[in-house]
Amino acid sequence: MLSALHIWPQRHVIWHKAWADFRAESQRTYLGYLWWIIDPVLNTILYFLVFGYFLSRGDADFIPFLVIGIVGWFWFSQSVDAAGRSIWHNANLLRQVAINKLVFPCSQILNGLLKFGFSMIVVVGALLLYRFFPGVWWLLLPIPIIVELLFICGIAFLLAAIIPFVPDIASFVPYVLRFAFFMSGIMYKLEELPELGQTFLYYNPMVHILEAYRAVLMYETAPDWGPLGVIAALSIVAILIGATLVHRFDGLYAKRIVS
Amino acid sequence: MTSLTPEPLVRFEDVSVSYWLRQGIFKRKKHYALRNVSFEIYPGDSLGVIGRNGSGKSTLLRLLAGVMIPDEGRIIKRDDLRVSLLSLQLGFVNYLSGRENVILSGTILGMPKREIAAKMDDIIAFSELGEFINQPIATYSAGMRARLGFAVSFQLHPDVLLVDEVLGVGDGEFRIKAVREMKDRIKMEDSTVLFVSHSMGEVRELCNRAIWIDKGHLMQSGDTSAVLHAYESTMVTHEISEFRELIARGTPFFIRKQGLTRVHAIQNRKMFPVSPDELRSLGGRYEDIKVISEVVFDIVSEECE
Repeated sequence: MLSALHIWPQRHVIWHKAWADFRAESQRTYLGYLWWIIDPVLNTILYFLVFGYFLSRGDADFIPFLVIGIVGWFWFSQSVDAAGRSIWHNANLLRQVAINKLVFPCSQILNGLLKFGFSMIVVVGALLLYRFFPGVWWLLLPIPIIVELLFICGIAFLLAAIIPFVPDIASFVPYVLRFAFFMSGIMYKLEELPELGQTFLYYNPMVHILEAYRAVLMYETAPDWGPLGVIAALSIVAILIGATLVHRFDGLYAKRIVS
Repeated sequence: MTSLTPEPLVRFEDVSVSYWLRQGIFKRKKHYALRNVSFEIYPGDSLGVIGRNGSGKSTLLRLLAGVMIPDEGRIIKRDDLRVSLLSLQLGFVNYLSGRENVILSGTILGMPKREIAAKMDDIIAFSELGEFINQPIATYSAGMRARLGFAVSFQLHPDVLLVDEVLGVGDGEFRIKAVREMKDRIKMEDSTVLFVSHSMGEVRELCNRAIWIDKGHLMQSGDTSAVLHAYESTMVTHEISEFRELIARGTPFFIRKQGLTRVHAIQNRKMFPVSPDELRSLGGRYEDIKVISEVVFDIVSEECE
């Protein structure tokens, strides 16, 4: 099972593909890399207008609260969507070279991680603006990042493995993601919900991941270790299953994908 | 007793590839793209693969390249044997420079970083792009892209090179150079190449051995001239029976002997030469004229009165 995860020899391809797509996307526009900063800013303005202003939600620290939610969420949703389609989208390539198919989701995930790095500038900016200064708790920031990365890999590997055989799933994913976007406590606090809603959202991993970012960056507390541990463990199981499926189907992708 | 023939690099043993074709909701039919195909590739071989469209040639290449696995039978080769398709512009990204695309394409093909760096100058020189190598390939003409694509995959030396009808890329002089270099590579004693082609002339010129597949079956394999002879005579028989049907139908059709300009019409079992005006008055178009070989032409004229 672990042999399926043996992608170390492919690290150069993964890195070059991720970097190539990242550079290509930035070269397409005049503002280039700046878009990875502008995008979360514009999203924050939009959701602040709707929820903070029109619906008068949130307290004085609503902006940093919202920015963390948006940056953390879009890293997840864009990576899962892109990496999930990646094997399917590279049909042309995988019909020509014998290549480890995990390379495709991995390079998309790495590409998303690079963009997330840029977006973190907005998070830090918003925190400083609202007088949340770096402290010892910030040292725990890698914890939610690693847990979210594992979660992304788990979902993305599973999707990437099966979407080439059932492309309809690729059309369905954006709806699930949009639904989950409103169910992840991005523009409201969990406590503001009725009890039933809170119980329901408790089973959404993204709720705990986003709260963990806020815990270490804003509330100066440790993240809630229990749920994070469970999410990390389940993600690792999903990663192993996803990678095994990709490995098992390796010779079938070139045969089955009709483009 | 010890055998004098060298160990084959690749051995196909009763290899089959099948697809399920849907024929309604519950009914499906098994279709074989390849069926019980066995052959060997020896070091230094230039193996030509011939057959009509849809005969399974591409499937054969994909099996060899390792992008597909057989449903039945097995393919025996060394684990570290590098077999790759000569693929043009593999993984090219529009907004990156020519140089960046060379590195990207090279890594996708599994070349180590050092090897790509070492071959960079050769690739740039071969592609004749000069300073343009540092420009985004989105600014290239189709010909320039083709030149770079060919240069990258050509500079890679796999143990077995698979070529699928790519002779002649780029434009003008580069096209001639590409064909010449390609032919030299195929003929080289120490390189092993499997070459799929529609051109019997090219296979005859370049390959020492050939295999002929039809509808997924291996019809014949062995010495090039013997395989080509068997293939061509079968094709002629096919062609003749098609023409016999056309003649019997009685409606006019037009033929031209290969290499000549004179056009003949055949109508109601009669064959007669026609001028362009007469061709039009008989309702024929220039694209409808069938070009046929001398052998077939003679047989067709005998069928007519």
